[in-house]
Amino acid sequence: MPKSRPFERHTDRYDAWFEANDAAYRSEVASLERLVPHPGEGLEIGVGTARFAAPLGIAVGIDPAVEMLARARRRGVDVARGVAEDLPFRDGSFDTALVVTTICFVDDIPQTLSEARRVLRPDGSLVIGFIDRDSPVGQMYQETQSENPFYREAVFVSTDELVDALEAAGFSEFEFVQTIYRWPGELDEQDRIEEGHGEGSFVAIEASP
Amino acid sequence: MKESMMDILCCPMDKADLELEVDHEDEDEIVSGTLTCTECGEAYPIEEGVPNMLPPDMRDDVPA
Repeated sequence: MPKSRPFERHTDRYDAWFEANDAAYRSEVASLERLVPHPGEGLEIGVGTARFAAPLGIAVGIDPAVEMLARARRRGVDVARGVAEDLPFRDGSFDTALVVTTICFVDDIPQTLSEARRVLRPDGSLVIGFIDRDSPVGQMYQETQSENPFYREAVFVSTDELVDALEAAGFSEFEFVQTIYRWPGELDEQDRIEEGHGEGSFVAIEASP
Repeated sequence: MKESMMDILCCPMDKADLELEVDHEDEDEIVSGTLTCTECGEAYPIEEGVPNMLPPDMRDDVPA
């Protein structure tokens, strides 16, 4: 829970990252769009200011940081304040659950995945987008995290670790896309998006509940 | 929040149904009110249009 505090205090700085790193942001949105072209009834867990939910057509978002939620509402997303480990949504409410650059901030990954699976319909899909700890950007974030108010308390994961956690939670049928092959600030246009993982710093996984 | 959110919301703790009490409404938005769990009786406030569904033990931990 304390991990959400920086997001209450630095909402402007959070949103400013997306302005300053527009090409990286667009690469991330495009890679997620490839996995969820039609989200149906969608939920973003850790919606923040709806930088991902809004362009991807996800209608509902949840986040513990209330300052961020005010902005998400202005971007047209229906919001609730809450945490990933104890979702206030009924079983089988959603076709898509999206979790973007959030998995490193939750207190309990197994509980988060179990709750995501509970709120999904049997034919729904979970999509997790994250910076792979074993990638160049992941390594840099990990080395400099003490200097960054957002990442100070983050626990970064590798793709293999996350797949293990997803399997343990009952997910299967994994699909991967990757993007961001340079430093985010050095990109001046949208980066390429490829299947698989292991090269791009941003990885998105789609899994069936 | 829109009243249609009631179709998907439940108590974050025991996942039971919630009862909505509206204090203030503005067009189709519920601005303030309370969601009460029909099972455990926990009350979740709706503040500035946002239902606060944090688990009760986390509610005081976070600066508003």
